[in-house]
Amino acid sequence: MTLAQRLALLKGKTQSASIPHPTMDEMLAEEKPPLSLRLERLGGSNRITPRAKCSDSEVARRLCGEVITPGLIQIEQTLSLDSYHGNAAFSALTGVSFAALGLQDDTRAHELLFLDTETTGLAGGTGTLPFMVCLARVRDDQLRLRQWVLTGFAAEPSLLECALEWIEPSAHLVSYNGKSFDVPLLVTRYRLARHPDPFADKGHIDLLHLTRRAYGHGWGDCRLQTAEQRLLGLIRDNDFPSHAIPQAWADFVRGGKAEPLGAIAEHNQRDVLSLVALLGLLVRVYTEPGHEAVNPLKIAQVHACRGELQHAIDHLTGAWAKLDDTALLALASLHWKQQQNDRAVAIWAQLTDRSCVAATEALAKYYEHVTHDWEAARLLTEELLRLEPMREAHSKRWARLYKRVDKK
Amino acid sequence: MNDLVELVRGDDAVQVEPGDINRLLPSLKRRHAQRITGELLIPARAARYAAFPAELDARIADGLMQQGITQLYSHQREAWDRITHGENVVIVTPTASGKTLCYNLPVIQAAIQNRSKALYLFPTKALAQDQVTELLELNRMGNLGVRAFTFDGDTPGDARKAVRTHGDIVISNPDMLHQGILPHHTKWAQFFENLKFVVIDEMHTYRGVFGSHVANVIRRLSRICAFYGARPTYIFCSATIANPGQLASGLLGAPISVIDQSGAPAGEKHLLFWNPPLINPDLGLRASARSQTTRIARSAIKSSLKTIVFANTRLMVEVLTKYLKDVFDNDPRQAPRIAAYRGGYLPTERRDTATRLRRGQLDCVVATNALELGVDIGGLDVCLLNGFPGTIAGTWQRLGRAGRRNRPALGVLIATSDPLDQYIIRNPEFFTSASPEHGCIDPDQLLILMDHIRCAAFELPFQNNETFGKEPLAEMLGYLEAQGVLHHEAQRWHWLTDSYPANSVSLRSVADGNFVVVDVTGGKQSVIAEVDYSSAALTLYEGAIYLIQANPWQVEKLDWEGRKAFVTRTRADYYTDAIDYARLKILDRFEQDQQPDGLCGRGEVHMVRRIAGYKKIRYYTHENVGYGKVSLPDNEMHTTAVWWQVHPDALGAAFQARWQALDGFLGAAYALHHVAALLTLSERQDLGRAVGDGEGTWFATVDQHGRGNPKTISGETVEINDRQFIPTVFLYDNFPGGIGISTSLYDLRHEVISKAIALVKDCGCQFGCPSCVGPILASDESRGYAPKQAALTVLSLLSQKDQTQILDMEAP
Repeated sequence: MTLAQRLALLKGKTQSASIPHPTMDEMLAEEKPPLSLRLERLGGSNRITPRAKCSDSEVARRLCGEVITPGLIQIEQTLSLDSYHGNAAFSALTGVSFAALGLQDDTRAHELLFLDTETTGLAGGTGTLPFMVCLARVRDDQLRLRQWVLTGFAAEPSLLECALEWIEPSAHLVSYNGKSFDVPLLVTRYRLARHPDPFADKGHIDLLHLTRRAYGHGWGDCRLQTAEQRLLGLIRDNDFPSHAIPQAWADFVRGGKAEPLGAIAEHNQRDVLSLVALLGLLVRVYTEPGHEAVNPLKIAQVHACRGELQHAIDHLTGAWAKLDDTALLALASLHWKQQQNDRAVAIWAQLTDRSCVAATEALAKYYEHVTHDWEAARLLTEELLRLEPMREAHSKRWARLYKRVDKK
Repeated sequence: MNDLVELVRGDDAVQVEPGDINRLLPSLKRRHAQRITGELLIPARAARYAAFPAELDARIADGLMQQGITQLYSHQREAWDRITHGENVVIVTPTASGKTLCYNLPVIQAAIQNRSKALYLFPTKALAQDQVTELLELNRMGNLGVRAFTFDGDTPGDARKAVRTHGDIVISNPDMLHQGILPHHTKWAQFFENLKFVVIDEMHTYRGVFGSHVANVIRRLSRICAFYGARPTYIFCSATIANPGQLASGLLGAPISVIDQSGAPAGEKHLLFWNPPLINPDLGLRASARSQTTRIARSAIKSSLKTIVFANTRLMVEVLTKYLKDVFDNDPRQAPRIAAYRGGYLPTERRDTATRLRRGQLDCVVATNALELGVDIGGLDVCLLNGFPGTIAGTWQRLGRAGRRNRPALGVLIATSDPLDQYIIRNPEFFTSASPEHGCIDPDQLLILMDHIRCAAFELPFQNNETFGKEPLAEMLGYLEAQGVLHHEAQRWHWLTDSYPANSVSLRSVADGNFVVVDVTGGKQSVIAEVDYSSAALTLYEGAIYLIQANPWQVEKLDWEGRKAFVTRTRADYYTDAIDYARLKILDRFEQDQQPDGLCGRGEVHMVRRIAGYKKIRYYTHENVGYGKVSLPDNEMHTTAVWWQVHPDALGAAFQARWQALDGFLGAAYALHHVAALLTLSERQDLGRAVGDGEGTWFATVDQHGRGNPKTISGETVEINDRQFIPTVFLYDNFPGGIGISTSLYDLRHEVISKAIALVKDCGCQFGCPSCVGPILASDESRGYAPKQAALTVLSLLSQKDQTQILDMEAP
């Protein structure tokens, strides 16, 4: 009777059939076994035997980077802003206003920091390590990438320290899902390394949120690669699959193959380049109305939420041909809030002709309370009662108006 | 803060109010003198006060005085003095003695003076809610500006950040700490850096497996605190148990001071021991406890006394509720006067019942131990216990439900035919002399410890020289590395796998996943109850009648994997009771005590439990009106057990037939089980019982013919006459891995046997009865065969020879 079987049973993995019953002598001879044996019995068919790991310099050579401290490889790249990523040029970023994304009007591209990480897991919490960090920023006419790759755990403090050099001078982060994933994860790592949160005072443009608002209604999902395909016309060849990344790094650290690291580094760089290209594109989508496949109402709502009602109105008006009834009603109500009554009334009237209840009701209220044109209001209310005979609000309004008209 | 408000009145004298028990009590005693086997009077206790501490912040003192509190109870002052000196304490004083103020005062003082933080842990979410209400009240009175928030699974996502950063007092539960806070401790950095107090209330609930888990969660908490440079003071509160200091220091892993001298006043309390009348003395058959309980409850309710009835199973709660509702709630136009309260009801429904009780809108509640905890239900007059709750601590705690408001209160313990009940009812002095139960934990149980080392490694990498628990940590970590969970590099052990370990570790039981009960009557789909994993198999098998507030639903379909039971309303006039079997196989023997005729051993066993079917039992007559088959996955576990065997030669000499020997073993097992539960101070369901051959080939049950019949786990009868015959009685720890009951049971092995012999011999029945060797059949009596004697024969073979008296084998 071995203890491995005993503890396997403890865990509910039944192997009872294969366990021989101990003879009386065996049982009497056996004391409670030492921990090592008891642990062995916990199971252990898939034991991992540590192997020698590929050397840092070998990995650095593969990744075209340099070992800046044992366990940490840094890779630098510079691209001209004129180069293309898919069908979009990085130069789209220069000279544009980011006001439509909620940044100061005078924000310039060189204040932005593009960020993406690769991690040992998707679970979150303190046990997940970003083993690869890629940052990008615009300097002069160039897009500069700096990437750090850990070949183990020991150099993590150095990675965090190095990244600060780029994080601290930047004013805004740009990421894809970074608000809920990459940034909290990095903040956790900084806290564990007893650093304050380096992102606390920075703005953050999460392109996932912008993409989802503008396009989410029409796409099956809003993953970065979907956005790349649809907006940048980019299809990745030989891309390392995201879901396999945590395991690949763990295997490498335990002495496995170093080849995947190169592919992962490339994947990580592409993600960051896509951030730059997508931002250039999304700024335009949010600034100028009428882009294809975009939901103008959602974008207008973003502006309106920020208090920029006129901006929202302009955006909707610019996409006039594509507005549905809901969007038109929203536009009318924006006009109303901006005291552009005539325009609001015009939209309501147009919708009333199409038997839209909300617009008809708004118009009735307008005639009743603003212009005191009770006859017109009554006619509209009769129409409302025809559309919604059971609504008490309509019949009350009608009775009230009937009295008024009658008194006159 | 009801307790405090009362304190102010300072009227320690007993108040006589309408519906006083002083009318019910004499009439019960007059009419049923025969049934009352004992009476205890716990006299009223006067209050002992102490002045406010000089250093108490004036704002807090103001707040207290606005509530009319001008001084403290002596134990509240003692707690203040010790806690403010940085001592870890455990406070053990009765219900309603103002325990919460013991910790609220130092916590609030530190919060308003230094913005120090405190973490309160309660075993359930409901208790946490009550706590916030209390704190807010004191806070409002003193205008203290202390911010107390609950943080649990119900806290909305957008509120969580505010709780983490602004909460002075965060009120949570061990499960949330384990799964939601510790694995994200960096988000709580500010909180941990300033954490000064950890309050762990209702400590007595942290026993057994749950307690062993919680001890490890506390180890993890202390480790995280150390990372942030904090060394909080721990304050435990507990209901009465025998070893509060030991349990608290076991949970904390450090010495702790005990505060157990209450200064709070208490009203007079009468306790009656009630044995239902014998209706067949030969068979030892008594009237059911259920009928007696119902009767006393009716008298109490009719005398306008607020009454609580405790039953030991959810099923019995439903049956009693139905009987009382049939009497008091038969007019649907009136608001109900009777309610049931038990685990498995939805939280909103339970909260609603508690509120109605507090407001006096209910006359009677029938509850399981779900109400034992500090859920605030206000003061009640009468507490009826339908059967001994299994532990002395649990009994006192339930009885504490009556008489919270300095009024005289009545408690009645109504015995069932269970041997433990009968022992206690015949020996009421046991109550005053025996110490309450010990709370036992084993935080270093290998599986539990390993689970938490995993979680701790996720939270912070272990350093080479760290310790965690009593097993050598490096070996444990090495094991996890070999499993591909950790990676050892530069003196540290790093988490290296894509998972969140706390999610796969449940503190409450090893197997997890609550079942929801879905009502599909008439095509609808609504969740009407939740059932925990451990009782699902016993209550939700297909065909089962599932009762809620005494209304029957029938289980149509059980989706075991999906953890769902689909039920429909029914009008059945019966309820169902599961029949379950256990089979054990000895895997490993740790120790053995060989006697001339028998032996006692202890070791590891593999246990399979199967629900084979169920009985349908008609209401009121309790006749068996049918059987049903059940097919459910077997419940398997590996645990530790104590077993007794008799040498085949001795057995052959003592019994003519093997079936008689088996009968003897079944009867002996029944008696041993009950005695063992009492002696090891464990709850009976913590200890399992089985009779088999030790190799798992057969086990014995009592069949329709009354004979001990060896069967396989599939229910086929085994021919035992042509093979080696070594019947074995097993008593096992009813938890995977075991929690140490069997260890103390083995140490007590001789006492268990001699007490079991005494229990059976002293029983007044002739052939055997549910109070000694278990139910027997009328046919046994008629054919002059006595299972009782068979059991005594087996027990004497098992007993130590030099002390064995020659048993009088003739019937008494």
